[in-house]
Amino acid sequence: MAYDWQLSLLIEYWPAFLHGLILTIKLTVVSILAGTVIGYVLGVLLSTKSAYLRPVRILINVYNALLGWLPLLVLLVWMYYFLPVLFNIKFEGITVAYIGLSLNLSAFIADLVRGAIQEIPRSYIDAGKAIGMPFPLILRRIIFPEIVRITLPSMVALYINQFKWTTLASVLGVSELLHTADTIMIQTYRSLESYTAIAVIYLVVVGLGNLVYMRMQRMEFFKQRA
Amino acid sequence: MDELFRLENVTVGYGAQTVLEGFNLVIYDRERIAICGPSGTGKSTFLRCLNLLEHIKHGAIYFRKNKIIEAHHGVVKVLVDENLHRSRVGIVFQEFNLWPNKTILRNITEGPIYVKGIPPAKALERARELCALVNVDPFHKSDNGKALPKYPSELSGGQRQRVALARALAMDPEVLLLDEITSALDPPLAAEILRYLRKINESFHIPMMLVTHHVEFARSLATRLLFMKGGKVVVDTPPAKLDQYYDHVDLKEYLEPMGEDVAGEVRAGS
Repeated sequence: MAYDWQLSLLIEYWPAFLHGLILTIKLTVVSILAGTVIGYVLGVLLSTKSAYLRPVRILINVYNALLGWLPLLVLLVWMYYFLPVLFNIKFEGITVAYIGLSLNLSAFIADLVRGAIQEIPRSYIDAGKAIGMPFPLILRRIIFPEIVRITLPSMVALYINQFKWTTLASVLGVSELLHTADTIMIQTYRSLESYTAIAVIYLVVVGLGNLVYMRMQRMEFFKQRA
Repeated sequence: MDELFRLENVTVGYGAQTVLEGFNLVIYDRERIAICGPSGTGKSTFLRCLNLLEHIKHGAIYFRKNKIIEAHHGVVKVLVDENLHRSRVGIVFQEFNLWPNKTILRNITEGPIYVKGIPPAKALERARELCALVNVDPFHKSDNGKALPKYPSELSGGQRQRVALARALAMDPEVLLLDEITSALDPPLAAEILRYLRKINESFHIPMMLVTHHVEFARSLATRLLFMKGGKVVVDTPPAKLDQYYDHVDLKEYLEPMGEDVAGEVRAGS
């Protein structure tokens, strides 16, 4: 089937694509930062043994389960209608996207961090205690570097995925890349050109991300020494 | 001699099981104490209680005449800053417990820098001195002057244990607790550790308490030998007079000899 490609569309609409890409990156970076911080805190809390914190642990487990079981698209749409009811203020689509993407990532990170902490041998902590390290110091100097070493490669894989998850924000009217392509398609009726353009952008960015990921895995820092 | 530790009517246990019961003991400054006895008699527990890694259930422990912990039927009251106390009372474990993902020098400087607040450059210099003392090279040999740091996994068992000793010494502790530090090592390596302990004793004159199965170890280094059984001290003697107890309790069984060659090596070194 012959198709008459009209690549002039790209020249005409490149500022719109650029704007979409910038918003996509913004969504990715902000939700990665927020999701990582929240996830770390939840993961550390999940690893506590204190009886006082048991209700907190149960709550976090419920949170993780809900976020893990709900399709992200359903979560975003549901939050879009539920958050205004809950807080009694208007929520922009973009705000809901930031919140939803962050929370979704935080659940994955919490599980990763919890798993990493369980992997750390008891003797590392004993050795710190034996020379008089207070627990916050053991956390900072012994446990935290181990968590980073164990989890960072998997986290980067999650971060790359996060870039792809941002497409779901398009249903909330957020003009990220996919939504931009939709809009251009409606205006010009050139669907193949606009979707091909964003497909190439996604491939390039994710491809670069994967290159970084592969480089990182070979780094000395991530070598686990027996 | 000044009093270092005093234990008054100390009881320790896990759950329903009691490890030490009604334990009384006074330890003086400058003593080097070897603690021997069958497994499960509370030797390690005793050491761990002294630097508060474990808490007693009943009784009281004094450090330099200050009460550090008291307990009344399971209700425990720690009367000092636990972390400060642990930084003054060094302990070395059977399994070395080095941090495998930190370099040798980092393992040694971690405590001085972050617990004691010693400037990193000074702590590093001291760590190198201690490495020299225990004869472990913290760097790989290199020709181009760019020396790569070594990690614990690149050392032998004996070397690792010596680094663990250096790490404890880097804190300038007032007493060194050694919990079966040779048990994970072959007899020749154990004898080597003993030589280094003697060296440490000559350089630091630090009181030591060591739990050991090796009678030669106990004889050649200790000034006092405790034989524990069933959570009690059954023999308390200078090592020279140990022989007169040989028939008294089933001592021989538990003081396993290090093997002829090694024992000879140790004696030759003394």
